[in-house]
Amino acid sequence: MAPKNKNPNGENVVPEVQQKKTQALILKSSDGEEFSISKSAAGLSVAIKNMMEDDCAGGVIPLPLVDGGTLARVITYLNKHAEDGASDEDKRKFDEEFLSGMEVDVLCDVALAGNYLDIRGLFHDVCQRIVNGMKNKSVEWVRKTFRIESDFTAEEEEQIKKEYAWAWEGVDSDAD
Amino acid sequence: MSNVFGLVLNGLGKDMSRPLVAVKYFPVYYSLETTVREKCQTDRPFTKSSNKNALSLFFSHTEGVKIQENKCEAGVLILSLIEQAKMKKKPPTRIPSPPPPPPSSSQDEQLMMDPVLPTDLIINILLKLPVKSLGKFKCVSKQWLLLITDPHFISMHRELCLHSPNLLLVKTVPVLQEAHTKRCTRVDLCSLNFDGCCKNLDFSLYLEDDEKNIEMLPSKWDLICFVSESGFYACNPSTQVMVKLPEASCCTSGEVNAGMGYVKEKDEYVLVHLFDRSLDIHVDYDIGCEVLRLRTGKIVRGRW
Repeated sequence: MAPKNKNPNGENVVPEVQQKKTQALILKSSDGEEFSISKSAAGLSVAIKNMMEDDCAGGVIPLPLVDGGTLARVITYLNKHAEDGASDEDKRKFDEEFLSGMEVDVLCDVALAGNYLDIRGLFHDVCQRIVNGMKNKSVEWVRKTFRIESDFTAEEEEQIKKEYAWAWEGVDSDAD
Repeated sequence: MSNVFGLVLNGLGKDMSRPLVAVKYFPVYYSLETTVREKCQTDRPFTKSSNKNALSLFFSHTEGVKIQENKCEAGVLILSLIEQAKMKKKPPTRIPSPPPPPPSSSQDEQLMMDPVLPTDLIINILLKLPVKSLGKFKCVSKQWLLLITDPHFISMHRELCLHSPNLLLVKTVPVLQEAHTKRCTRVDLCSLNFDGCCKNLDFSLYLEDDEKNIEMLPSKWDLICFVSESGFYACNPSTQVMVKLPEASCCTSGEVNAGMGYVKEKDEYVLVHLFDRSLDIHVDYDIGCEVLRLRTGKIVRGRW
């Protein structure tokens, strides 16, 4: 053993640190898929971090509210953000690319997972993405996309529209 | 001939990369609710003493619940939703056995699988939307209307918006009106973010005054204040609403010295007007001071 690996008590230091870093957790999605993730990446989720601190994170962690596809995306995000060499600029670029390919319903799933696992950065970025996509859309687009049924009568709706007539200018076409 | 004023709302914030409109609310926003309420034709007595009553009553029509109950509900709605969200987020405490029951799991799972977004996510999305989109999306459903018009939501939205300030450009242009003898001025308002690349709002208001006499007063926060020969006006660029304020005391020297501020503790906008009340030209100055307080769409005391 090289002396530089020993602390004054003669214990081996470096391998322990390495071991801690590479130690993996298993996350299990609602549909039974299992994912391995390093502790450092998983620790970016406040919910999982709390579990690790409370020593409840042994073995497999079941995440009954997150499906496999979504969990895979979340893990991709966490791995990038836990990467040692990644600068803030790298991460920003990654986030941009990571989110730009997602459809609204995928974004919603990721937002929910981000909220559930308490990953603030991911949650806010995804919400912002959803907002950017919807702010110029029509009410009909919002209803269709989020599967919301209107419970207004035609008269009530007309009344609300009149109140903020200017808010209805410059609405994008639903096809965009 | 036109005057161009520049005004920075809320000073320079840290985060300028946000592409969204720094949208602000004006108390008139509340009055608009009141207007709708009045059209609801109620036989319930309506007191003008508190604006919260107006809002509660408005909710009571849309939701069909009693005023008293609703008054409370409207206030704590978001808080209780946040509590719910926290409950949901609480991680299972023991792993791996027995199978960790996330609080009220069946219900939550259903919520997750349900295509309809959970309320806490809707609130988070709505908080990031500009006022213009919110005005439009009030029509989506009764739930959305309720969330958007909730006073807590409004104050949370305002707080968030203060982090992304904008540049507001104001221009006055005389309008030629052949048929009328009255002069009219168009006030163009345009808001840009600090990069100058994103135009957030662009609209015009009209004042029946000569444009030379229209001045913008030092204003901060979300309201801007104009003064002209016909009196004081407050405008909320976010909701594109302008209201005429009660008549102020006459200033004998013809100058206008006034400014508007905001008292966070009281949630009040305060317009301070200094005026010369000396009638005798031999007396140098006799300065009077009057204050107009505005709160949630109403003028406190109804006068200066």
